[in-house]
Amino acid sequence: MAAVKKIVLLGHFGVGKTSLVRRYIDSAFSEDYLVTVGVHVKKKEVIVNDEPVTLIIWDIEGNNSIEKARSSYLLGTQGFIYVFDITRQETYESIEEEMAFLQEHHDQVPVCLVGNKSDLFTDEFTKEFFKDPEFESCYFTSAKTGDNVEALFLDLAKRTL
Amino acid sequence: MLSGETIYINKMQEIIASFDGTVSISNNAIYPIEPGDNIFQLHPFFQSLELSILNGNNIYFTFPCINLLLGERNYYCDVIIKKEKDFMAVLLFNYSDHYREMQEKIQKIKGEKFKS
Repeated sequence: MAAVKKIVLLGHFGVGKTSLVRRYIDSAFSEDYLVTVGVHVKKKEVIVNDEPVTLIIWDIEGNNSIEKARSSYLLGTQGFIYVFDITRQETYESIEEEMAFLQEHHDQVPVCLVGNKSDLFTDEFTKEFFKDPEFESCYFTSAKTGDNVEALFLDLAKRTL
Repeated sequence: MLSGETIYINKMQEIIASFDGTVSISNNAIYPIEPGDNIFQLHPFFQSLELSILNGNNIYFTFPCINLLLGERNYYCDVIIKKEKDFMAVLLFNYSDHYREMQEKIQKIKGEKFKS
């Protein structure tokens, strides 16, 4: 029987949480921005170390801070994905505080930090821009191209076991 | 009887299930569930909560605005789960119209922001 792991995506409005889930679950992408209200829950089975794991992914509405997220949505979470938009500073300027909040309230739960929309990096604006320590283990993903999306979820699945 | 008295009854589904998820009673106001069905298999939302409900100290859980694809229909429901001594009660409140209206309003505001 597959282990069941609840994964919650956090982050501001419009950073691409729903697009990441859609890319991961349905291998699809749309340029149209559709606001999420409340929670959408999807699931996908993966194989980790030859064992089946069922990831149940909670795509919750965007919030400027995790503190504003409804606490019941976070209940029993076994892995967090905190998503920011590499092109919008306001979505990552409070990363330290947000990570500290998770450390304080969910200290046993693994967290993946994700800079999404990496397809918008250019020759001048590169990953090197995010060289501060808080971005050290950050994933850079593109829901549009699919870059790093599978790897992100697989890594988090491994870390939940 | 006033005509409005049944409005909320038709929007609220009461499900009684044992702690292993087996449904014994459902008034089926929103979605048909048979006795013997398992609530934890109804939707991944419930599946992901199984351990928290069974093992946690909480006896009362409230989840506003949960998008539930049941059959071929999408519902936005507020969900309340209450643990009693020998069973759990799951209450689904179908507020789809309200939340869709809210989604459209937020979409206008946020959508404009992303265009600019």
